[in-house]
Order: sequence, then C-alpha cells, then structure tokens
Amino acid sequence: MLQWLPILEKVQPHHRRQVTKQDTGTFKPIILHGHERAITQIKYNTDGDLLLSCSKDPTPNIWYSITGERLGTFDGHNGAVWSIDINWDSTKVVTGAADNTARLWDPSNGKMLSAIETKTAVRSCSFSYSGKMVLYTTDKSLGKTCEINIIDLNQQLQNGHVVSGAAQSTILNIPVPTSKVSSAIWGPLDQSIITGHENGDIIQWDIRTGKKMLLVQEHKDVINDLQYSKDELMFITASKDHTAKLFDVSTMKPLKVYKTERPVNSGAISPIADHVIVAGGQEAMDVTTTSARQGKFDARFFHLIFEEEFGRIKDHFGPINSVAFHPDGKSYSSGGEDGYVRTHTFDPAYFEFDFEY
Amino acid sequence: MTNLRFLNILDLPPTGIEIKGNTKIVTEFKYNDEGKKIKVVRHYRIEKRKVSKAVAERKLWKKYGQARNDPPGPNPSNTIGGEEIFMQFLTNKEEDNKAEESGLAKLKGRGLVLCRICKEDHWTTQCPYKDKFSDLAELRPEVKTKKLDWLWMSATPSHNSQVEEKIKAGKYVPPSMRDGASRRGGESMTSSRTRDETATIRVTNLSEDVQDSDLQELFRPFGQISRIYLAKDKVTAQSKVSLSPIELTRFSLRWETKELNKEKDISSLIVQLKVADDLHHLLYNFFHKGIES
Repeated sequence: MLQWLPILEKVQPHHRRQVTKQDTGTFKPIILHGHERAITQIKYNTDGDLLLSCSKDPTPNIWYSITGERLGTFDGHNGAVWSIDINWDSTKVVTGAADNTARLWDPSNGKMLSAIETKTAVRSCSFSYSGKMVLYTTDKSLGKTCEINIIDLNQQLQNGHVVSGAAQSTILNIPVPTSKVSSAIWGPLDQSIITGHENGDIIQWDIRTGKKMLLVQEHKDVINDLQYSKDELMFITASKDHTAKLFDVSTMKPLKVYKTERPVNSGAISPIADHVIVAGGQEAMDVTTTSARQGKFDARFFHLIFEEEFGRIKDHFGPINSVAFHPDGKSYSSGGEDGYVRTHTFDPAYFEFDFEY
Repeated sequence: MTNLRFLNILDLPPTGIEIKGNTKIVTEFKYNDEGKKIKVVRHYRIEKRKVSKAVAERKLWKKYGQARNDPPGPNPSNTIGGEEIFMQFLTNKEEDNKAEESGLAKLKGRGLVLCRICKEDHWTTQCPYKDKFSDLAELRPEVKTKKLDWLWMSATPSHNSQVEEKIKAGKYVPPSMRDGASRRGGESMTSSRTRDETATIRVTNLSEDVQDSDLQELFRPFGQISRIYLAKDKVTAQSKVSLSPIELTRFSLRWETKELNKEKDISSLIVQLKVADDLHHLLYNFFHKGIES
C-alpha cells in the first residue's frame, strides 16, 4: 500500500472529479442501546462478528454485529470504563476503568478472569498482536505519575486478583512524568508500543529497553485515538486540535492530514477502500451552549490519499467518541456521547462512489 | 389507575411469533402511555450466512450478564432498528467552491491572508482554533477601538502620565481617571446604547414573515451589517410590524442618503426606512468635508 502512495500524489488535484450515480446513500442503522452513559470506545473482533462497547457507565457490552443482538455484559467494574480490547482469537477481553482496575474477561460466558489493581484510573488497554501480552496505561492524578505497563497474560491469569505494585506478571513499567498518555497501541511485531499524549506528542517506545525510540510533535492537542490500517503499516491519529493525521508506523512520519472544524475524537481507516472516517464534534461540555447543527456531530468520510472530504453521515445527536470499521469494510459502527452505538451497513451507492483521476 | 393497568397487562394476548418463509413476524400487545391497547408488529428477515467455524461457535454462546434472560434474537429494548439516514456525498465540491469564493481564493496562498489567531493562511473568521481562542483579549479591544475611532474621530484619548505610572505600579485608579474615561465608548450600558443608535437604521412596516436573512440581503450592498434585531412577537414568534433596528458598522461612502430613504419593497409591503438622526449628521459631514476613510 505504501509503495504506490507517492505515485498517486503526483496527480494534479484539478484533474480529479468525483463520480457517483446518486447524490445520497441510504442507510438503515441498527441502534444498540445498552449503555446509560456516553460511549468511550467501541471495537470489533478480528472476524468482525462481535462488537464490544464500553462507556462511562460501569458495564461494558458485547454484541453480535450482524443482528445487533446483545450477547452479554461484563459486570464488575465500579467506574467509567475508558477502554476495551479483545484478543485476536476472541477468547479474552480486557477493559480498563476509572475504578483503578484493568480486568480480564472470558467473552464466552462473561466471567471475570483476573483483575489488576492500579494506583490511578486505567486510560487505555490493548492486547498485543500475539495475544500474550497486555498493555495498559494509567492516568496522572492524586500526585501519582502516569505509567505504561505491560503484563504477561498467562502469568496474570495464574495470579488472579493482583494488587498494584506486587504484580509479578509485569514485564515492563515505564513511568511517564511528562504529559499523560491518552491513547496507546502496540507497535509492529509486538516490539514497540506507540502512545499518544495529552500535549499532542506521539511516542514510540522500545519494549525491550523501555526507552523512547521516536517522538513526533505533529499535533497541538490531546491525541484521543490511535487506530491501525488493516495491514498495520499506517495508523491514524485523532486529536482535539481538529485534525486527524495518517502516520507511517515504522518511521512515524506524517503522511496525510484530514482537517475538520471541530475536535476529532476518533478516526478509522477502511480495510477495503481508500477511505477514512473522521468523527468527533463539539466537546461534550460545550454542547449545551450550541445547537446540534453547529456541533457538527457528523461522521466524515475522507479520501485516504487526496485528504478530501467526500461524504458525511449525520445521525448522532452528540459528539461521536469512537468509530470502527467492520473488518470486512462493508459496515461501520460509531459510539457517541449520546450513549448509543450505531451500526451502519453501507449501501451500493457508497461502493459505487469513486474519485476519477 | 396503576393497579388497573397491571391487571390489564395480564389480559393482553400473548406475544405471537410466526415464521413465514424467511420472515419472522413478532406480534406484541402493550399499552401506550394513555392506557390504550396497541399492537406492535415487528418484521425480521431471516438470513442464512456461511461463516467460519469460530464465528459459528461463538453464535452458540449463551447470553450472559444483563442479557442473561433475553430470548434468542435481538431484544427490542436494546437493539432498535433506526430510521433511514442519508449519506451526503459532497460531489464536485471543488467546482462549487470555485464559483463561490473565486475572489477570496485568489488571495489565498499568496500570503496576503493571514489569520490573526494562528498566523496561518486563512481568514480569522474561518480559523479552526477560533472557538478555542475566542477569549483572546488582544482581539476584541482592537476591533472595538477601530470602530470607535471611526465614529468619534473628534474624541481624543487623554493620556495622563501620572495615571499611567499608577497603572504600571498596580495601584488603584478610579474609573474616572482611567484611560478612556473621556471617551464615550466603553463597557457601560449607556455609552453602548448611544453607539448603537448612531449607526442604526430602523426599518418599519415590515411584513410579518420577514426573516433576518431578508434584511441581510437587502442591506448588504450598503455596508457591513454588524447586528440585526428583528422585533418579534413573543407569542407568535413572528416579526412585529414595528421597529427593527439594523446596525451597520461601516458604510460605503458612495452611499447616497437619498437612496436610503427610498421606499423598499419586501414581501409586497412598503417598508419605511429611517436613519438615526446622529448618523444623518455624521454622514452629512462626510459628504461635505470630503473625508475618505
């Protein structure tokens, strides 16, 4: 994918024309109403048959993505759940919450397998590609510094409930005294991790040494979300500075910029088309002072390469906090501040739509 | 009443599930908020899909947690079929924009346009950081003083060196001694009211369904409109036939007072225009002394 990027860049913009047979596409979304508060993150599993959602209420949900049927809830947290992830074979789920725990769950029966107690709220958590390690980051609060932690999953499962500091399963602990980690993903081949920070920095850490490998300062404000492209060669950032940017994973160089007029909360890259969804909107705390029309709570579709917006879907009545493409690229879901998750299946007009160049 | 309703629920016909070919029809009876019996019919399409073994196995998992007691299939209280929504394609966006902002587009990219907030190449009003820095203190006074200078050109600001020293030292300076005390502008209610009136045109005898935008359109050729207040009836939310002041900040000097007093036609009603007396005077000075701004 990266190899043909530079070639297409040479195309002059004014030779481009967007071609579609219709001006609008029609979707009938499935609305998933399982949360009482704002959605914080949604994620599909590898096969795309399951959709996980977590919100500021303490019960993360798991759904069958095709029918929108709720499979179950993970009951046990006592605070807002900030992050959720499922491993590649859908046998474990990890959640990170503001009740100072990260918990591991069995998605087949909803039972909690293990809990890790932390000093502060867990902001983000994710399984490594192999599924053998779990990364979680904690907030900076109450005089405690922000930390990046990696644990060995198997050892953790043997330990059961573990109190902070005594975690034998911890492989790596990096205190981050500077700007707080606001989102984190694993780097290529589980050799590094990439963290987005509150001040807009993006840092790649070597997990063998725990040292910073690369630091990029491309954003001016909080990185709300980091998501991979399907081949995991690129990732997209979503920042409060009103932009989403596409980065090359290995060099951490910015490739593309998608500009909007509102804070961006989440960005996702289509696995089948050169499309990017950028979603966000007026911040929740500012919403009451403006009308919904001005909040711009749309999911915006950008062309991956041309950085040009070509479509918009308006359906949430609050800012969108998380978007995710189905792994087959034929549908996507969005979770909003309004507490709803909406699953949209693309109609033929979307697939017919193309740029002529 | 509530007790009655509980009894009634027992009287309702049971929920019927019927499968016709590849459609599942669920018929449910319930009471709406007014206590009337209603019938809810939901149609589900049954699809068979070929899936991988892992997916098929996962489909057989038993529901758990809060979904533990849900029947097979989507629970209508959690899974709602949404209304149709539309994806707007922004087709040929570039060409549309070209026609719209051809003049502005030319200025772009030449370094002529500089945002006052982020120093990038766009107009300040279009700055993406506008809302973030809207409280920038430097921006507003600048605008305000410009406006005031224009309106009160004769007013000279008094600079008292003693007062300035006091301000620098952080000492208390009574309002009457502060810079700008002699000027008629400022934050007080009275002065702002007078300022408003000087640059205000009152439009009377408006049609009831005149909108802000109509007035914008009508007066745009004459100058920059800073405020339109359309007097509206509290009950009907329609514009009153009476007063509707429009505040213009800058007028083009080519503007003839005669033309302004001409009667204009909005929505087949004759509209009466009147310029505030002070403004008349101000404009008169401009024309006769030949001052160019």
